[in-house]
Order: sequence, then C-alpha cells, then structure tokens
Amino acid sequence: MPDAFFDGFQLFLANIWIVPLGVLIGMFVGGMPGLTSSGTLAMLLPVLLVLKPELGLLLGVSIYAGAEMGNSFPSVMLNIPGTAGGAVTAFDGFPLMKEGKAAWALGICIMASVIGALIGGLASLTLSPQIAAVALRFGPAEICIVILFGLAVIAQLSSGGMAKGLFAGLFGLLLATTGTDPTFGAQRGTFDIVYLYDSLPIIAVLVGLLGFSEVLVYVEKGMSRLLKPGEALPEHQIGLAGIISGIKETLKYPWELLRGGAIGVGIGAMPGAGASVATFVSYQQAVAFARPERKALFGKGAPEGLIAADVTNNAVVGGALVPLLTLGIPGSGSMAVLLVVMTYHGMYVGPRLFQFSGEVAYAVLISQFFAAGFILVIGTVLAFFAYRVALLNLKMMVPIISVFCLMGGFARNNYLFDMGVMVAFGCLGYVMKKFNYPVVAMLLGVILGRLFEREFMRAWRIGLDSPELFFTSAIAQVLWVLFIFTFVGPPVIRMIRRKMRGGAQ
Amino acid sequence: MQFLKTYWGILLVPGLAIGYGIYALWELTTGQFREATIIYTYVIAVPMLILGAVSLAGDLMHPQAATAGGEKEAGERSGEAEAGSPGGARRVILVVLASLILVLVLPYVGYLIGFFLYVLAVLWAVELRNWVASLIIAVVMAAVVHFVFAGLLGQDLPVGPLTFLES
Repeated sequence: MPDAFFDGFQLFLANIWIVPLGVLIGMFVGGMPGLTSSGTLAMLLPVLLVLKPELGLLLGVSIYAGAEMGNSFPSVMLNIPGTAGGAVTAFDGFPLMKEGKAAWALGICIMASVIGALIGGLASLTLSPQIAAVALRFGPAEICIVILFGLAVIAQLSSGGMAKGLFAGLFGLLLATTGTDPTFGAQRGTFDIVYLYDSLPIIAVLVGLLGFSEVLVYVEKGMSRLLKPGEALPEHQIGLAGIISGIKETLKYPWELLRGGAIGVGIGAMPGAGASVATFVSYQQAVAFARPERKALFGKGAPEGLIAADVTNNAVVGGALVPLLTLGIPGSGSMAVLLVVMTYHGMYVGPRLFQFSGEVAYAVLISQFFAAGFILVIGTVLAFFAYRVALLNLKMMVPIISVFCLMGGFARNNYLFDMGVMVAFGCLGYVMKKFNYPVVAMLLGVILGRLFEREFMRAWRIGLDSPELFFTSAIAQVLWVLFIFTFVGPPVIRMIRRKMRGGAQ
Repeated sequence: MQFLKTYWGILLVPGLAIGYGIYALWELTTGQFREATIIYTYVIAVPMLILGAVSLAGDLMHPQAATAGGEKEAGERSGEAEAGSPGGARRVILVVLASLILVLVLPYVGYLIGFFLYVLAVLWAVELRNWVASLIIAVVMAAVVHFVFAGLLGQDLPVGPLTFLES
C-alpha cells in the first residue's frame, strides 16, 4: 500500500464533513427534474475553486454521487426522471409505487445505489490503471455496439406486440436525428425552429412521455387516490419497515448487483458514454438473463430492473473517476468540472497525478466509500418522508406534479419552447399508453439515438465510409459475440439445464 | 368525418410517425446531405414506415383489441380508480389546454402569476371544489417555483409585469 494512500486517508478524515453536505446537495439536485449533476457542478464552480483543492474535489464527487441516488426519488414517486439515466429507474420503480410499494422500492434504490457506489469505489481504487487501459481502447465503433445492447431492450420489452415496440423504438430513433447532424453539420427535422437546431430537448421529451402522460391518465380516470391510508398493504411494505425490507430484498440479488456494478464501472470509464448508456445496457442484461417467468415482470415492477438501474447509476461515478485521475481525461460533464478544479489549483493532471498529488487523488477515491454510507443514511431519512406521496389526494397532486413536469422541461435550457415540447410529448405519451404503444421503447430511441448516431458516424468516417471498423478490432469482435450471446445464450443455457435435469431424473 | 371521430386515437400515433418519416425522407432529397446521413436515415425511417403501416392496419382491423390492454393496465394499477369516470376526456383536454396556455402567456404574466393561475385552473379542471385548499396549493406552488427554481436554482423564468422579481 503506497504512503500516499495513508496520507490520502488522513487528508480525507480531516475533510470528511464536506461529504454529507455534498451528498445532500446532490440528492436535492438529482431530485429536481431537469437539473443535472454536471450543470450543478458548473453552477457551483466559483465555490469549488475558492475551496482548497481536496475540499473542492470531495464536494464535487459527493454531489455527483448524491445526484445519481437523488434521481431515483422523482422517478419512483412521480414517474419524472431527473435525467436520462434516471429514466430506467422509473420503468419498474413507478409501477411499484402504484402498487403501494413506494417505501419498498425506495429501499431497493437506496441499497442498490450504496452497493453501486461501493463497487465503483473499490474498482477505481484497486483497478484504475487496468480499467483505464481497456476503456480507452473503446473507439466509436465499440461504443456503438455497446449502445446496441441498450437498444436491444426495445425488442425484449415490447408488451403491446413486437411490431408496435419496434415501431415506437424506430420512431424514437428518427426523432433523435432532429437538429444538427453531429458529424457533418446539416440540419434535419427542425422545421426552421431555432430551438430545435441543437437537438430535440431530451429531458423535456422524457418528462413528457413518462411523467405528464401519467398525469393525464390520472386525470382521465378521475382518480382521487393511488391507495387509501391503511389499505390492505403488508406491514413490511410501508414506512421504515418497508424501506428496510427493500434494503434487505436488494441483497437477495448478488449476481444482478455485481453485473450492474461492473457495467457501470466499465461504461462509466469510457469517455462520452455515461450513465444513460450504462443504465440501459444494465437493464437490457437484466432482462436478457432473467428467467422467463420473471422477464414478464420487467416494466411492471420487477425488483431486478430497479436494482440494475440504480446499482449501475452509482457505479458509473467510480468508473468516471478512473480516466480523470489516471489519465486526465474527463469522460463526462461532471468530470470536466473537476478537471477545471484540478488545473486551477495547479495539480498535475495525467498519469503522474498519483506521483505528485497522490494524497488528494486517494482522498477522492476513498471518499466514495463514505459517500455510500451517507447515501444510506440520508437516503433512508428522505425516503421515510417521500413514500407518503402515495397516500396524498391525487386531485391535489395533479397540479403539483404538472408544475414539476413543466419546470423539468424548462430547467435544462431555460426555453419556454421546451415546456411546450414537454406538453406535446405528454399528450403523445398519453395516446400511446391508451393504444398500447410502448412509451419506453420510444424513450429509449430518443435517449440513445443521438449518442448512437454520433458514434456510428464517427466510426463510419474513420473507416473511410465503410462499416469495416465495426468488425475488425478484437474488442468489437468480442462485443458482437457477447451481443449475440445475450439473445441466444439464456434460452440455450435453460435448455441445457432442462435436459440435464431430465437426464438426472 | 365519422371515421376520423371513431378512429382518431388509432390513427394519431402511426399517423404522426408516418408523416414525420415521410418528411424526413423527403428532406434528404432537398438539402445537402452526406451519403452516411442519408443511409442512416433510410435505415431507420423505412422499417419504421413499414412497421407503422402494419401496426395501423392491425389496429384498424381489430379496434377493440387496440385499446383493451392500455385501458386495462391503467385501471388495474390504480388503487382507487374510478374506471370510466364521466367527463374524463373533458378533464384531459382542460389540463392540456391550461398547460399550453401557461406556456404561451408566461412571458406576459410572469411565472408567479402564471403558475398561481395555472394551479387554480388545473384544480378546477380535476374537479376539486374546495376553494380554500385550492388557493393554499396555488400559493404554495407559486412560492416553490419562486424560491426553489427561480431563487435557489437560478432558473431564468420570465417575470412579466412583476419586474421587481428580476433581481
């Protein structure tokens, strides 16, 4: 163990007070629809720069970790994901909330986030050089294939029929092409509206499709409550008992936790991929490897789906720190802000960071474990109050949720146009739900489409207008094999197991 | 007209998607686009158009089945859903209209007045007839927007005639 590690631990203990503060700020920011951790860190940059470098970095990382957990609260309680990465939490979290299991679902989110943060912390502390070496070999073609894993959920989750699922997914992908072509600069589908020149406002679209459409469903049904106080719900599913029960439930899925954590660390370390890709890939893997009887529950309240989303969301934090601290490469907006803090204070940025400012780097890495602890404590306290939303009068909740949806649409770009987009997609989502079109498939297309197109075009250009690059590198070939295995593997494994059991009898 | 009145819902989603798909393909013929962009758009739009047509034809042939799952799902999940509650469509239209009007008038009335009136309008639309409760909720929500979104989070919301809020 290098001396810098112990120096870093001492440095961290001297500044430990900043971690719960950062986690709390992060949870608040993550819980606000439309606000991102990177945006908040950018807003707080003047504060981060004034603080000592170790304090600024610890605060930044804690905010990032807290935000990834805070995301889950509006996703589960209101079906309003704060960010694209949080959308996956809503797939299974909100159906659980509608069944009256909000406390239980939040318990799962908290524990999955804690374990995700621990996996991310452990991986970044022990395997940073190795992870960085592999992650940086992922070029556009490889990232494109990784995104394909996420897009494959469309085919696996088409509850209204495969044709409608694929149709909705492709519609989402086509909508994601709106705006300026990320590689060549041509404008498409903008109808000469200046607000669309950049792209379709993704947060407004996802808040509309998931959150506002649900409000319209309540309004149409004339519902006054999701559930009555004291309705025949098992004791262990409400209150603190419900949260603790959810925490315990999470531990029953060690394989899902490890797999989600590994995906989070791996994709988090890839520059440009981020939490949205990671959570969708993790969810897709959870669906692919679920037993057939469990597979039907995904999107309707499967704890495995919730775990896959939340463990990955938080493991991404540890993964994203790897290229920043080992190579000086920020893989996301949040990490770019931290890089600014490091360079502002004259810290060596790059492979020699651990040599010249090792104690600060180790303090940051160690802080993740303590951030996980604070996520557990603060998250449980917040969840204890938050789950009660399910008991409130829905007629009173409708305008409150609507205001949050409208502000969620507005917050990212501060355009009133985006509020209008949110309302329009809310109406579209409402009609889609009425006529059995899977909203999730469309959402997936919109969120991942832009990233997919950007990486696809890059790979296409690097390959001199040929798709060769998608098949030549060793990593790409391994990924294709894994991709095919995702579809073919689980049924084949089940068949072999059945035959072996049959043979044994 | 009767056809549209009966099947508007079935036609809306595939209609929008097919319209947008055709527009996207048509747009490729009008501008200066690279080969890669054209191929990418075709690879997405053409199967989407085919699947959209298939979904639409399926729903038109079996209109009952088209809505059955969605409505059942929404009803099943609700704890106290008053399934088939009268005036549902009217309430939805009123909430959507209120939201659209808010977006349009926000620059003129400002966020404080705008959100206050919006919350009152939505509460009226969902038939909450307790005016004291409605007023309290409207004031609280306007305050939340002011203190949390505009104040704490620094969102650049239009202030309208209440220019003193600008600082």
